[in-house]
Amino acid sequence: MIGISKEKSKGLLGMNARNLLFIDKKATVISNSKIRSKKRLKDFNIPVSKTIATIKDLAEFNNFDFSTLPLSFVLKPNRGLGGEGIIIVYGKKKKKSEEEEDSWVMPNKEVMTLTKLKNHILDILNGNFSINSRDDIALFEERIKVIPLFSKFTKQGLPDIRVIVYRNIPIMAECRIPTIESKGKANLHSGGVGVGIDIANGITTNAILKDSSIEVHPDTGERLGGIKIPYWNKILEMSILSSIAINAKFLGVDIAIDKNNGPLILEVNARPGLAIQIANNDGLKERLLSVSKIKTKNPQSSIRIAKEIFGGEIEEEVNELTGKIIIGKKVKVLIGNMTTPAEAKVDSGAYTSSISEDIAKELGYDKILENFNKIDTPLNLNIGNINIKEEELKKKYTLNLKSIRSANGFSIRPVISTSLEFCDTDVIIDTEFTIAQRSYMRYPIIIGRKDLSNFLLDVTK
Amino acid sequence: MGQLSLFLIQSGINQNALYILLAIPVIALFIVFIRQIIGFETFNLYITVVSILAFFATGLLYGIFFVLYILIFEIILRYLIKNFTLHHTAKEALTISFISFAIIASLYSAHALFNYHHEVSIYAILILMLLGESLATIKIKKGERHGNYIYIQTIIIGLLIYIMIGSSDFRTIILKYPILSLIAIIFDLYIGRVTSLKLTEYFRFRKLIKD
Repeated sequence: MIGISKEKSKGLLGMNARNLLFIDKKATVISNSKIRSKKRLKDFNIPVSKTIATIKDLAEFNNFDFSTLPLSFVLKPNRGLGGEGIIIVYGKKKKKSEEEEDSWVMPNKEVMTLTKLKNHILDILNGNFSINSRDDIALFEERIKVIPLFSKFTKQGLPDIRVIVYRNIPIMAECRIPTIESKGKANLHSGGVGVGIDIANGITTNAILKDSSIEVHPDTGERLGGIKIPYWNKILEMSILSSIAINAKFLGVDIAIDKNNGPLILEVNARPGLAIQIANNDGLKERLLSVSKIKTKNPQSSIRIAKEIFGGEIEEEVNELTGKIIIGKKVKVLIGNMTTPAEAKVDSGAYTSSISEDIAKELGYDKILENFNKIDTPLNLNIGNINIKEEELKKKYTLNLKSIRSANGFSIRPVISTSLEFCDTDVIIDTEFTIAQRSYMRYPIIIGRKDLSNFLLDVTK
Repeated sequence: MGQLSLFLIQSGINQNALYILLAIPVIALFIVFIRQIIGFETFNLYITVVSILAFFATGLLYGIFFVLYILIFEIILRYLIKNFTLHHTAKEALTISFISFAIIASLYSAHALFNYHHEVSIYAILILMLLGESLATIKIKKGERHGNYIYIQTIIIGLLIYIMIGSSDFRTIILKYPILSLIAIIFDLYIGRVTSLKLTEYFRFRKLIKD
């Protein structure tokens, strides 16, 4: 197919591969039940959202004292799917008269009366939101209070962090932020925003809404990239521990951050959605396969491995923000008619790029070298006379020359004009190289500042 | 006609029934292909297959007419009862009742607009109800828009299969080579193990796989 890289598409995880190769059936059974998975997590001392009460059947429903419910809570179906059937209330509404029934306020300012609430619970018990439509349990949980960092992004609902863990190693992460359209749900397919997270440092990268890139939150206009997620290491650790607790090979762990209690596991999901790949601009399958043989000793080593292998999205982000590409001290380049790439040293101390005589000969500039060697190059060059000497020589001989000031003093060198291609990037420029007469140069090709305007130099690379 | 088909028909099996039964594995394979390789979403296989049979009972044009009526009525109904507090079963009852009305209304309009005098069989009505009910259920699980989307895709794929089943060439081939039904099963086993991206996923992830 035109414009499609087979290599890149191989790294993507599709529905077929997810369902057949990665979904862990045992984990599905546990993660389908919020009550069961929460119990498991609690046994491993992993913080989870607190359960206030459960209603298992009609008998319990009839005996339930609704006046014991707190001012704010979340009502969930135990075996719900994709966030459907969840009701959040923020506070109790003041009664106008004694006869009036209890009612609560929902995030969108709608009123949830006790009758409506009871009907919803009956719907839950009836299995209307349940994965397999069988009878279900209603679950009251404490409402998690949104941290200020997140509350500026969304007007309603609770943003959460989804970490995909494979073989107890965090593979990919995203922050899911509800919108008005998603009705406060963080699920991407309901219209929530997904923001990729760099595993290495917990900083958000690119954001998507319904599979398309966005820059700002649709409701609040807040920029979504470059946000540092608090408790990042703790979040990674909790997600690894959850995967150990559930004994799952492949698991999506949803974590919310409570204003008072810090990160809490909201739920675990054995069939995590695939849009996270778009948010992170990277394929899951490639990442899954790259750790398929790694055995980890403890959560700390898992975190180290994950950061080492999957960190570094931020470089691409810098590239997007500044339009500049990060390069290291050594780069692979193609000069003029070279057929195989050669290694060059990036030297921000030099202004013009240079090549050794050998390379110049390889490139077919023998003639220029020959002509240059015929010239009597003046000795005793210094800052006072170098420019004058350069002009003199240029007038005398029809050669392109340049005066150079280097660590060894001043010199005049021949100059060639040709193309310079940075392999690994798309950058090709037309530029000049001086030919250095020293054949003992440690690096036969040196790239100077003049040709580095498209790049940022990372000296650790 | 193939020997096996001939033998079965001579043993008293109705030719039409035999044709449909032999065609079903091939149709099922077609749906598996559409879902796993192309990546369209449909209702479950059974409903997709029977929805096609509804078209045979009503005729193609009216079939489309009826299913669109059901879709529109279902959307109106959802809008009407959105703010009602009702048990789910009661909502289901309302849905089914509304679909009945939808079918009456569509029959009436078919008569009035196109002078349609076809006798609509009880089976067609049952199947149309099943479609309406599935639509309502899928919307609870997957949301309003996604539900409509799946419904329309099911109908479009149903139409393709309708054209397939209605073709006399297809009928001849199926009855002549009943072995095709067995071959279809082998392909099911093959497609059932495919782990590549679906075509729709190539589109969905197009930004990630650009050269």
